[in-house]
Amino acid sequence: MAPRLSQSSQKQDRGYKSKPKTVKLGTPLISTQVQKYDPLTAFSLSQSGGDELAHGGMQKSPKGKGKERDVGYLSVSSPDTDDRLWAELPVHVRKVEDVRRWFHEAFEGGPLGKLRRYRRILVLTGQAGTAKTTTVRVLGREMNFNILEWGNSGSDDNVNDTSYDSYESAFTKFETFFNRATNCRNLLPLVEMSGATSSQQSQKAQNANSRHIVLLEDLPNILHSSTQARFHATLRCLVDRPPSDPPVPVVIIISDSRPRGEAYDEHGVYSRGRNGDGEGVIDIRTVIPRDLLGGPYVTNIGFNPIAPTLLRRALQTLLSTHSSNKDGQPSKEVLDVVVESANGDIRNAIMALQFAYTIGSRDGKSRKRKKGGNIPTSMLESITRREQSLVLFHLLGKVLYNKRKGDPLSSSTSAKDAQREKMQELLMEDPPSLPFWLKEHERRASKVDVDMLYGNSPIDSSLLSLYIHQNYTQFVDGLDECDRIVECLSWVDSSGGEVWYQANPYRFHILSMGTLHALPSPVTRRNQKFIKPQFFEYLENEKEAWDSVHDTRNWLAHSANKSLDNSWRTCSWSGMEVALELGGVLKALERCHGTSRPPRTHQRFSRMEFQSEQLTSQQLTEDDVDIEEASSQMNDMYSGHARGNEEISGQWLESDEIEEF
Amino acid sequence: MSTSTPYELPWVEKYRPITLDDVVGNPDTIDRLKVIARDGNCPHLIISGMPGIGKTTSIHCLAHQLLGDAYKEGVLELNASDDRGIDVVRNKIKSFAQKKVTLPPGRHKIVILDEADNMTPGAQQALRRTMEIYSNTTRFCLACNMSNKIIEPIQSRCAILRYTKLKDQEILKRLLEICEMEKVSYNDDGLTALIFTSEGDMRQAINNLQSTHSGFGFVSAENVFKVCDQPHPLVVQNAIRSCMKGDVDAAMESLNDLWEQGYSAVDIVVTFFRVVKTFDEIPEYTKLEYIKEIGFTHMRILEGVGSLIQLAGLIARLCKKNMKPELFKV
Repeated sequence: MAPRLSQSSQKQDRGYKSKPKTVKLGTPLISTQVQKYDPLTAFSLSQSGGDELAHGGMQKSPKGKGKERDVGYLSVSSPDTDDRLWAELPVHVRKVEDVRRWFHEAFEGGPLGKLRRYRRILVLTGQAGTAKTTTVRVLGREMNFNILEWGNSGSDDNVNDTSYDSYESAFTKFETFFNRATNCRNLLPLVEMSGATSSQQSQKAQNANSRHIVLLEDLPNILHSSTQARFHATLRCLVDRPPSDPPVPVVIIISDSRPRGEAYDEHGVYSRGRNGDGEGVIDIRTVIPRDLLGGPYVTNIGFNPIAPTLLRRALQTLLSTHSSNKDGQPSKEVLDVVVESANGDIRNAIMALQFAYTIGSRDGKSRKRKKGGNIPTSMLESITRREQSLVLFHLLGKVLYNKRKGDPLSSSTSAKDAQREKMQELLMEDPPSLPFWLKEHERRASKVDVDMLYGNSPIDSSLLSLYIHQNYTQFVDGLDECDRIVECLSWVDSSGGEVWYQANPYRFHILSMGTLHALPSPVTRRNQKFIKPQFFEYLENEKEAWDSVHDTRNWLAHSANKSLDNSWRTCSWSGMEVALELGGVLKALERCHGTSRPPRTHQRFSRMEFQSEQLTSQQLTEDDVDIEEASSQMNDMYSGHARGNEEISGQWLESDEIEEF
Repeated sequence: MSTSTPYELPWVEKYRPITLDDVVGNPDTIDRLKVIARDGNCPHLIISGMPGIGKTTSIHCLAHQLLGDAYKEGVLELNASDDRGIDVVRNKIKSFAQKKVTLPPGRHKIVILDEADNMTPGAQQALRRTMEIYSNTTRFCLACNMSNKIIEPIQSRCAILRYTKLKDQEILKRLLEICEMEKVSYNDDGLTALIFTSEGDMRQAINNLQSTHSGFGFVSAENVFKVCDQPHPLVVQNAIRSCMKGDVDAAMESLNDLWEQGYSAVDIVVTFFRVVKTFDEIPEYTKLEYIKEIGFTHMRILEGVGSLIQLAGLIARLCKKNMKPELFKV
């Protein structure tokens, strides 16, 4: 069943592909007429156009579909990222435009034809499941280039082959692949020859002189320091060579793993700050050598989590194209939950949708009637929830709203709920009273079962303490309450010690009970909103600032070596001294147009600006781009276009351009 | 009496559920797994939760129900005891994924990675592409204690199921079933004690049941605590009651009692914590203060001072919490 399906869809794919081919590709100035037929922009510019395209492109013969409905759905949302089906790329247009422009410049060289030299490595970063790879693939189809992908293959052939001469390490293979791929004109025979590299090509190479890019997603083991060093050397090597003709740009895709709010995150930062070596984290700094990252050859484009509006649209399209009858479709509520809990991760959203869908299919018909057509949200939550999702929201609400027996009911509760609350309160016993000298600590019986919270908590206590720390000020009425909460947070921090970082059983209880006890009762409702901890942003900033301190120190040492008499003094400066003492000097150097300028990154620590809190804080559940906002962003896409160009070119190019003339 | 055959399996293995219907707890999630088992459309899964709540068991049941007789060929299981470095992910898992196996239509091979949070980040990175490339033939089921130890790109590729702690009634039900089948004689206190000592961990509850049964032949509270070698919570409860009255002598007496029975300082302090957090007679404020003190003492004990004097200090501090502050003025 499955092969047939894929065959048929391949056929359609070809049909679908032919459409964009009529479009003149790669022109920087896109006329609106062209855009209409462009799969990427059409989607977001005119909804109807995008839909039409999707339907036209992926219509299946209704006969086969009816029979293979279940299997069909599976293959649709099966975990392999089937980019055909994501042709309505749920990525912000401007982002796609950025990437497209980069490719264009890499192949054509931009307006002056000079940019080709600097468009060597493109790094796409962003959370997992934000369609980074898919964007590249879709663009590959649109702009008609082949994607050569590196895959770390198993060394099965080495198992039989025991002779040492023919042994090459996994990294050597990678090196070979990489060098050949980026150099050679005609790649196909070569790649097939080196059988160990399981590189895959999109089978679209009809014309021999078509363009290639190299896509690195499955990186060699960067966490191993010597492999990392060799990888860096390979990249430097690539950048030092002039681009081959036709150029083969390299795209590296890195899914960030955000720090998780555990004790060792902090450690990681400090050890990196001091030794310049982070452990166990693959991010852009470990993959790309620091000097390249600040240099002109590497462009970094960050992908944001997919906005809920776009995500919902993409899921709806997927549903409408791939399930045959309305019957088996998940209801709107289900879709809402999926979108909400996916956190901008489209892959996860599709997974969850598929999981939710299974109940709607096959046995669904009889059961669904009873349930009134939707799957209980609690069940969905238990499937889709990740950190920072609804459960966390509930957990924080439970702790921070501090509900106790005898709280006045809010005006919005219905009579039925009020009745139920009353009944529950009757069942609750009053707590044993405290002796008179402790009367100030007496509280009414709490409705929060801390043990239950502990069992259901989606996050560990250190992350919870960050959340509480971020949010508690909205819920307190006076300084005394603040004092008690901070006291409890500090107790939690100090009671851990080195002995049990991960599994301190007391933390959660002290944290939640302490907070409950400290908060006023009842908590004044003033429309509080939960905010994500800013801790991680600051951690990130600190990390960057430390990196720039290192850069500056290196620069200092380097320039001091030129004037020999001073070198002993400046070389001994510690990072701390550089950061604290040199701010003014660096700023002054920036102003004067001398020959040796400090690295531009120094601004990260020498020019720290105050930020208003409102700008940076992210709300917990509802951080979405509104439709109006999205459309306004689209409208000023052209102005953004110009501005973005400026940003990317930066200072380096201007000066280099002059040199070349 | 229990050893009718010389090679008896541990009951944990003997009564390990074989079908999803027998798995205890988390009814919603299990229902969903049952649907998957019937439909055969298994997404990549991550199941996370505390030890002993049926993560691995439910994955096994799912695999059995999905693959039936083909289980042997169709399942690759790796747990923390296997080598799971990068090479294994690159070689073993890949060659398994490439292997051709005849399976019932619509079914997939399954790779079970138990204790996946112990895999190195490097190995996890190597896994993520493999998951995608072979997903049309192979599905991955990961079990782990902390889902946040799994790197984000893998989480993004999986449906995450979070198992919650088992409820006391759920454990009780299963224990009763086993008692029935093994003809164990018990009283209610004994079962309560089993549930108290297991703290939501089914495996531990069943193990303790078996050891109590084979050791004493009768499951009562005293026997359970003897077998589990844990201080009797009633004694601890008495000590805490005395503390609340500010009666240092009585509390110390109970403590000495425990100490002389040979319990280690960690055992005692852990039992204090367990008792305090579920003890209804303590007001909220006192409970909070007590937990703070107990946690602090636990930390000191872990740092190496597991002496009686630390515990006595704990008792003294607990007593002081409920005494008039004027008494301490000189």
